[in-house]
Amino acid sequence: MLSMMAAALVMCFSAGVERGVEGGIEQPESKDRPHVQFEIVCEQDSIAPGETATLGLVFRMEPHWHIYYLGAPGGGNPPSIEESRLPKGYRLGEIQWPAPQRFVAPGGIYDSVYENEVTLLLPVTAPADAKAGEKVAIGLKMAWLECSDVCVFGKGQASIELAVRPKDAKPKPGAGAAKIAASRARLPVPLPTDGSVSAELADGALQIRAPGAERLEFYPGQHCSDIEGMPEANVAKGEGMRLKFVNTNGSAPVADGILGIWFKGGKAGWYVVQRGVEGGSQAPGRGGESGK
Amino acid sequence: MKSAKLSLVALIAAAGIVIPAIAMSTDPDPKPTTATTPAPTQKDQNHKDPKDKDAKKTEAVAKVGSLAPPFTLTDTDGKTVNLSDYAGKVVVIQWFNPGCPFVKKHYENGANTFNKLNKDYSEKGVIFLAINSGAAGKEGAGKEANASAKKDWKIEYSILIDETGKVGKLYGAKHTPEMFIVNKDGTIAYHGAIDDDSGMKGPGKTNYVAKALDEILAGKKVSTSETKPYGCTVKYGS
Repeated sequence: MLSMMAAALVMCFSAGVERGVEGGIEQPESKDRPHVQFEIVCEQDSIAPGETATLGLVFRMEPHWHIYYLGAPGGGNPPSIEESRLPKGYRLGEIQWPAPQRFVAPGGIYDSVYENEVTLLLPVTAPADAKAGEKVAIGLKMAWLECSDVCVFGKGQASIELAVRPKDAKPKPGAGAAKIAASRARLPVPLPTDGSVSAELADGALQIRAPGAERLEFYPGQHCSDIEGMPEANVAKGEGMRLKFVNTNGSAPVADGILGIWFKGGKAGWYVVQRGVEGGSQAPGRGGESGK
Repeated sequence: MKSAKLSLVALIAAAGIVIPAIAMSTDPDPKPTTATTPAPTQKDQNHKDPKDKDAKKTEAVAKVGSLAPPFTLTDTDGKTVNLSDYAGKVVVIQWFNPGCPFVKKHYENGANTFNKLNKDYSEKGVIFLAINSGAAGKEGAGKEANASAKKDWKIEYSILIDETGKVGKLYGAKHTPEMFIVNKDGTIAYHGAIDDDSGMKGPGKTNYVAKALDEILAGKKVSTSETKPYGCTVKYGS
């Protein structure tokens, strides 16, 4: 019994962060050491045969440093999986991206980033024939762009060991349960269909109405047409926001991004907004590398 | 006459057109939400309130098809360079920062993107200019750092210093590298990325600037006149 319990323990640990190669030109001192730490945590203490568990890819940034959201309009590279080490039969899903934060660099250059700490979510599925009592290791090598007033190509690798429990046994919360839950709460969801929040594209502008809101932020996605008046235009106090798109030379504008709403009373929600997107593009809240 | 025309265009462009966000007030009916989170503050989000008079706007004023805003800057050798010096020629302008890893990936580890481009097309009469709009004290900014990069990377074209960021903002440049091609008639024929690989490993397979230059020199319309630039943000001072 004790050995089963021991086998069910999940060990989460992080590994060292590799640095991008810098050379040729004189570099500021701050480039010579890591500014972002990468770690893998898990939502539960074990995984059962055929089950999908959620891993948390935790990025901890030094003060004033940030990494980039998927589809950040400034073109900064978000974390991506360069290499994965998985036991036979295990599969990774797609990275799920919690809502980002606004960031405005000097010169009024807008971007969507993560500061301080973020946990990206990554589903992992065990094969149906996984053997209870086994321990399996999952390793990831990731790359990203990290910036403060300078930018550096960041790299890191980390591993996590998961115990396989019997199919009928219930898991216990893992070391990453709280972080993953907090991150899951910031995953964008579809706009409500009851009309409580609306986003209509007409006359070259996106008109957003959110009764009860006190603040709105719109994070443009990969396919979004340029918005006039950035970086001020995508944040508004009150219950509505109008985003006017830059003239797209005759083609219809595309509204693609995430709408963040802070309601009176302190609650908040994040919603996927896609209007005029051809072929139903990927939802901005989900994406990244899959099952390599 | 042409100079006066360019100045007028630049004046209009510099004035910019900004349509502010419109805050609305509608039905007071709070609806279900998904989390309890304090609204971000100005301090923790590092941005200016929309009404903040100091908020800086970077509306792109140099657009494909419009006349390229004129400028006068000094290069790393102290030589004054005017865009109008090259009237009637095709000019490639590259926003530059030698400290930016996305710029480095085109000069280091065997990559030779910009120098090859310059070599291949300067023989055909194309002018290459790099502009660094980084403010004093910022990464890769200033005459010394750029002169050093020019030497280390064997760059044969001029690197112009724009520490006030005035020219960068006039062009709406936000990234390094970010590319503009000015056609012989003074209009902007291409704006965007250097190539199709925004990743962190090396140059891409399709060089958009080379493709556009081939079309321009063949007397054709540029088929891909706008792409999404990638790279570091231009290190403006404010």
